[in-house]
Amino acid sequence: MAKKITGYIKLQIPAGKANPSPPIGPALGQHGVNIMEFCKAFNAKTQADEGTITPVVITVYADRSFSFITKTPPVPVLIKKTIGIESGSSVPNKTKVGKLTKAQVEEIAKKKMPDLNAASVEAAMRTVEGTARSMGVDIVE
Amino acid sequence: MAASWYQVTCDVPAPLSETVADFLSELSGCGVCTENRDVDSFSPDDIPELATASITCYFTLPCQIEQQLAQITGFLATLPGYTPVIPPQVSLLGEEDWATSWKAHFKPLAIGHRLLITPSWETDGQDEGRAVIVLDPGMAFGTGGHETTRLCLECLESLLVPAPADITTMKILDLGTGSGILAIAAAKLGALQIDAVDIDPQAVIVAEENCTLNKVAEQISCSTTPLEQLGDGYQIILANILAEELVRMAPGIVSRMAPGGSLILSGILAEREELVRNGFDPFPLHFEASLAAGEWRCLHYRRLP
Repeated sequence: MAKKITGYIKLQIPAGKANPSPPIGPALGQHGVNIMEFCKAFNAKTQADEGTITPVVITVYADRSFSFITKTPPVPVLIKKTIGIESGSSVPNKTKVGKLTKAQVEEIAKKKMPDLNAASVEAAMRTVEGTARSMGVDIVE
Repeated sequence: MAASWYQVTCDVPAPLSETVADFLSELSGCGVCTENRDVDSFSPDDIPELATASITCYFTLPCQIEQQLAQITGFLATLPGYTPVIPPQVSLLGEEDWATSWKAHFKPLAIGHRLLITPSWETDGQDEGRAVIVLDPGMAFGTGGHETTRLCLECLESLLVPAPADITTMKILDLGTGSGILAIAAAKLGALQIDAVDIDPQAVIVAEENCTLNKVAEQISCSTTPLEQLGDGYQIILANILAEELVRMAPGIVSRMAPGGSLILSGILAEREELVRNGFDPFPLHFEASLAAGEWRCLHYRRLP
């Protein structure tokens, strides 16, 4: 089918728990997308990781049909999972909440490579390190 | 409508978007929207990345929004590379039944003289003697609301109404079926042997569901079979794909047409019509017509005997 794209939406929502409330309802409703169809399909696809914040990109076509792809969890989510913390620091320049080793940085970078606009693992590692610092997580050898 | 949510939007440099999205997700307790825009493109790869991300989160009323905003502003101020251009924007959002409000965009749609496309929640209306196609919009293109689909349906109707003598033995191919709407229309107009193919397995699942919903599953065979593996002798081939793809597939399409058979090509932007006409020129076809709707064109050819 001749699919002209008219809408482009990115959300970060808990896996397996999509429902028509915000942020999904207002975002998709604005484009006239079948919200329940999206919720059903997203939950079916992500139920194995229930609760994990999952980025999803929704493409809306000219006749208001849609498709979506899910991505690997955001870097902050992977960092928190790796070092076992609930939250990042709300004052990251003063209060530190954990440490991430270079090996852990590399592991996260490799996991996120498909979704990062990084030319190499090293470039992806620098992105991960930057995100860690902005969460109040120090990088150690 | 009573307000039920505070909607807070923060504009941040794109490299900081994941960190800010994560912070706002935690603070609001639900997810966030990191991008939402209208575009005009044929491929996600052609949609440019934005330098600034507008991240929106929601807080249910009642809540101490001033405290939340202080936390957000405080957090943003600590981020390296963050220079606030505009402070976080706050607005009120009313409660709405988002589960059903999108349905307002879909109403029964009369096409040509004999077809009516209707969503499943609108089937009680008058069909005025038309063949009714029940179709709920979802994850496959072809809701009938787009010019490319409508032009195809009108051209198909002109071939099948009044019904030709051989309609029960006629072989029809819907190439790139999407939601299955064209194949279903052919079945509703009396055809019994229809192949509906798409390279997207998700579209085939949706097409099969729609065939069942419309009680025409016996007449239509849905599959991901590639063009080169399909048989030949089709009296009608419908292809609502993009111009470049149509031209690429031209030899395979034409070789599968029965002598005297019809070819309906759609999904062609006005400025691409010449490209398609040139692409199909070398083949034994007679050009019948070019139908127009807005910026779209639909071409009808007949295979020479």
